[in-house]
Amino acid sequence: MEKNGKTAIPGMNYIKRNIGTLGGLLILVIIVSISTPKFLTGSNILNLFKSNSVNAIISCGMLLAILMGEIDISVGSTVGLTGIVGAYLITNAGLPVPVTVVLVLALGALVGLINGIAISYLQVPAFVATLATQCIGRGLTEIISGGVTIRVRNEAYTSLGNSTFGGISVIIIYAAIVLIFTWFLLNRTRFGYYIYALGGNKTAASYSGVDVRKFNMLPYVLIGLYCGLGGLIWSARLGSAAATLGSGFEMDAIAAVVIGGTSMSGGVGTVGGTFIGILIIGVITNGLNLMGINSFWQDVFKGIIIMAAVVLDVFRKSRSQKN
Amino acid sequence: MKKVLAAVLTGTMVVSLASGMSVMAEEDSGYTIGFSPYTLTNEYFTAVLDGVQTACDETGSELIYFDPQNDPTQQASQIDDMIASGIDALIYIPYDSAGAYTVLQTCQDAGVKVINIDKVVTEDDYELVDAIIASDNTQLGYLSGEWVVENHPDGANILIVHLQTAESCIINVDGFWSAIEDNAEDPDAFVEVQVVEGEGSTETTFNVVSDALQANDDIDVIYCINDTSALGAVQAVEEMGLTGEIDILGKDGAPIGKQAIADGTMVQSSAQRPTYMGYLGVYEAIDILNGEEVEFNTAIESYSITAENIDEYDLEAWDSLDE
Repeated sequence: MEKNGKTAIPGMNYIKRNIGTLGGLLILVIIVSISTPKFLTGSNILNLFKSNSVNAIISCGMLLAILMGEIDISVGSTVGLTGIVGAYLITNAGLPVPVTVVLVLALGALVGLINGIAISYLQVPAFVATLATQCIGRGLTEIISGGVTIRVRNEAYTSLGNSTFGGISVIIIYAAIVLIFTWFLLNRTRFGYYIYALGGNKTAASYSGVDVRKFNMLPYVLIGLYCGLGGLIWSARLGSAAATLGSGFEMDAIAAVVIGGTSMSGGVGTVGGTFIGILIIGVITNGLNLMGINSFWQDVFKGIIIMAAVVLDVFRKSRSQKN
Repeated sequence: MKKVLAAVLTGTMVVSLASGMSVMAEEDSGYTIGFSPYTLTNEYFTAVLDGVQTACDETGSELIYFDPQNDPTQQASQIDDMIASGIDALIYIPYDSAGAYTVLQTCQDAGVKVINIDKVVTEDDYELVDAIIASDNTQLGYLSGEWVVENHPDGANILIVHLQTAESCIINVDGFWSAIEDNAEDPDAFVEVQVVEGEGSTETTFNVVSDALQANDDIDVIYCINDTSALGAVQAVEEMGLTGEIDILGKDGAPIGKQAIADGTMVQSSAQRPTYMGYLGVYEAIDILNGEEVEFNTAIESYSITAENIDEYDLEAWDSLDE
């Protein structure tokens, strides 16, 4: 490798940093492309991005939690809750679309705020706190829906998920905005700097004058907001919301973040890496679907890749400790 | 003393758990009926409950029911609680048809009559139940297969949206194909393009059908194993701009399915009759308790809901008590 960093090509740093995951993604893409000619077509690539947009949004939230050395397992349930509330407000309560959008996003943020307060101010372990809100969210979702799928006929609402912009689905654009925003937040603001600091060492962060509690809480509000957006997108896109909406979403998000090279113990990880993780999960699912392979194999492959990513993380850590 | 306290506590917990419990008496059959589905957070099972409740009200029987929330261990212990509170008969939908043995044995020892509905126990356990009422899963699929043959006499490329973990759905799909075998002039002209796993959920089906439409541009018919997943197929087809070109069939005759048929987005759904099933279950239980003979194994006949006959049905309710 060249040591002369000044003449490095832009983006080189990104490639170097994520060489393992990028290599993995490349191998996957090659295998899938050889197996099915349908994979590398323009419309399928757009379809691939579209299918993984909500996971991308949720994963950006999950990245924040994991960077702090914590976790948020309530994300799927919050997507379900906000999705069902969105459908309910539009269909059953007949509220106008802008009001519904604001209320749904606010509800997401509220769930996040509750998580954040419990975790940072009340010192409840993140896993337990978000397990509790997951439970509450699922229960409320069932109560509000009455176990019944709520249909949405309001076209202004469904267009939030169905419309395209210059041939690109609006959902992809939402995801791109969230990815860029999260990247900016983590890399260009004090807020982001504190998140990394908290994950690295909470005590040290607090001695250096960071308001640990506040900056431990705020990311959860953002996670909740992202989930609200996810719920909004799904209910709009499906033109309906069922009580089961969002179940298992936390798993795909955690998988994407971990595969993307984020350390489960916090402090290490990037939006760029997470993006690759999202694509890896997406290519596995989409590729195996195109090949007509039973979906249970997708779970098997995802599991193997998650395991490999974590083992790699442990390796890296033990090596950096030796150095 | 501690034991007494524990007993009192458990007692109050049981009572508070039974908050959904209802007591009615008009004619007063004097019987207490227990109802144990494996979940109540699902439209289908609340429709069964409606039927059970109506029949209990009509006969003046007391009804006790709990929601085991898809947990077989919880279902077993709730049934123990019901037996302890003196039920005469149990309307039973086992979570796990192969794992019903101990529950059935306990009921028999306690002299409680068991009407097994919806999900049938394994044949080895038949001697432990007093009557069985279930949908005819073969017929449910068969009706959809007949629709396909009738409307695509020259053959069709068919995508199956499955729920491969459910035995009933496997029988549905077998029934679907046997209708084609029996009725088509040239069964070989009906091709299974792909089987995708929709997990019975709208959003999963949306994703897998989107992928399948990428992989195959010649799909004529999509057969979904329930209306909830058919809704996802409808949206996927619509986003691909193929509405009207692909016929989407569902199963259940759920309100959402019937509404979609009325809209023209779905073409057929084979009706299940959960309300009637629960209703009949209670009447059979009371007949058995009164020492009358009932038919041991009742298959509830389905009917085919299509655009032609949709006006005859109530779009809001699942099914009626007629027949």
